[in-house]
Amino acid sequence: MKKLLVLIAIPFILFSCNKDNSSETNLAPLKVSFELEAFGAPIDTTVLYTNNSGEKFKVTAFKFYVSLIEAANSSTNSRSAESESYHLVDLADPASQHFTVNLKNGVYDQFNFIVGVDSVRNVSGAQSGALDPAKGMFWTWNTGYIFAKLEGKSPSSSAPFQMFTYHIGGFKTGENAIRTISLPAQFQVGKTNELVINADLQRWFDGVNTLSIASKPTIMSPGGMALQVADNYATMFNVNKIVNP
Amino acid sequence: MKKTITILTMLFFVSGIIIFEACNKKDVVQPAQTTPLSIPIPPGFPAIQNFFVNNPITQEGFDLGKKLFYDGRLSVDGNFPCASCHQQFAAFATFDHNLSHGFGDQFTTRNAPGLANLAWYKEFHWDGGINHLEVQPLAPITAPNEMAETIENVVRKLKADATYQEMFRKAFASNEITSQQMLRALAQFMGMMVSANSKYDRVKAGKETFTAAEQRGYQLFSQKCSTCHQEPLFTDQSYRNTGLPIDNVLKDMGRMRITKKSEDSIKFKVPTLRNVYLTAPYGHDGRFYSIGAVIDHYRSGVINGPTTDPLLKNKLSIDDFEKADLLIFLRTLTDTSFVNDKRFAQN
Repeated sequence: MKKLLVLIAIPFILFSCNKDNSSETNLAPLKVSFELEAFGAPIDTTVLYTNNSGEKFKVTAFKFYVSLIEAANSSTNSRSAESESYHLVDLADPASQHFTVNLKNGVYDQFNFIVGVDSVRNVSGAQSGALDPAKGMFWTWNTGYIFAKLEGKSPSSSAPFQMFTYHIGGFKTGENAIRTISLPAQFQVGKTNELVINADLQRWFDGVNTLSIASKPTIMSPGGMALQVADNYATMFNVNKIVNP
Repeated sequence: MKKTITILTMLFFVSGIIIFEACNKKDVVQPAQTTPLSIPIPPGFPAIQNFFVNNPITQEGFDLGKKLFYDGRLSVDGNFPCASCHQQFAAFATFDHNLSHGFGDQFTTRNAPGLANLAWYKEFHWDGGINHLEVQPLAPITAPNEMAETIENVVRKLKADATYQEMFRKAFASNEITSQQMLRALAQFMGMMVSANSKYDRVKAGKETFTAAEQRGYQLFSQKCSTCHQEPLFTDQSYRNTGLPIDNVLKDMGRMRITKKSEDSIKFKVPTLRNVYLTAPYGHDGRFYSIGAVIDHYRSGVINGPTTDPLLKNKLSIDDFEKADLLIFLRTLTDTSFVNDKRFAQN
């Protein structure tokens, strides 16, 4: 008789709603915020900044993809990755600088993500949401996402209107600008309210490499200098605040 | 006991149904009835690319794609639908234009290729820069010298149109119109464009026979041309430098622009020869106004540079009689049923 009762339970298991996976896998929301800065202060598009090469510049656009977000615990090796994890963080859109990710409950010591878009999504046709090509982060003539954009004006630039234009991307072998960021951070999904991450654009110019506006005002295709700039901005992130109750 | 089993078995199914139904009660639009379509695979053709794994073709998606293909609103001033450079009577190339025309009296830098059998192509454009059929239309829509529009604007225009609202809902069971859906509908329409009913195909199928001249031409083609213009697509989809002198205004470096490798300098994709008699002019920049002129280039015009194709370095030896036979054979690649197919014609 007990066995028969089990039979009744089976359909409940078989047909349980897939959507409701938060209760099944213990997912909890974690707010992630990006503070976009220049030289240690929030970016002000009216301010004339000076990089380490002594070049003065103003910023007009700054945006980048934060994808494949993952919380990791280096001692237990437990990991939790956000599903469909693509976020476009945009200076011009304050709402894009805060978002909520659903991760498995637990204690973690690393917050990981990539800057850019994984190669699969670069070769799988039209995408939607944050990856919608209408966002202007897509090369139409040489298929692939622009991972990060920094645009502005500088008297050091020899380009029209003294513009500098850095569109960084590339996923193919030899041109791979996808950079994995691993930030140390003690947090607990299920308890921690918010992770606040700084991204300081000074690192685009003064990172592991030096990017001079005068010598290179325009980068708009994969490979070459794009790889050096990706190495630079990969160092621009820091966990600034971990907000616990 | 038997009774209990029966009752419990019934309960098993009933409870399953109840829960299953409950799960379906989400806030989604009920999927409208769609009619599945599939790309016909002609005899001897390989498998298609995996472009449609996430985009199953339906009559409703195809119809929507066709409306989009012929709609000038995809361009900034309404004058440049996809069909302005891809005309059905020219096998979806541009009739009589070396370089196709775009917004504001501008030339593009290349000759518009015909559209057929796209589901078999690995890459698109003369330089192979596009890696998926769905994202190909983004290039002409946004290029300032072609349709000169933004994706955002196109989607805005579509959203404001009641007919499109209805057609998108029918095709994708969603009340939202997105660029992804637009591009998938276009891919469905273009993917269905299969051209494989020329005399050549009917001869291969044993339904017709070549004339003596066509047969001689075919033999010659098999010896001198088919390595690059490989059957049944009549292209091996490789990129080659056919020894064309570079145009000093266009300065088109071809494949090298995509790969940045010097060995790809002035290489362009081998074009298909299907419907070749309908797709003049020829070459990536349309510099040849006749097929005869192309053959003459291979006989006497090839310029040897560091990347000139080894198969052409010594030019092709084709005498005038052979040239005539070759031209007669190439005529058998015209698929009149394709260019007259009402399914692909503007409503």
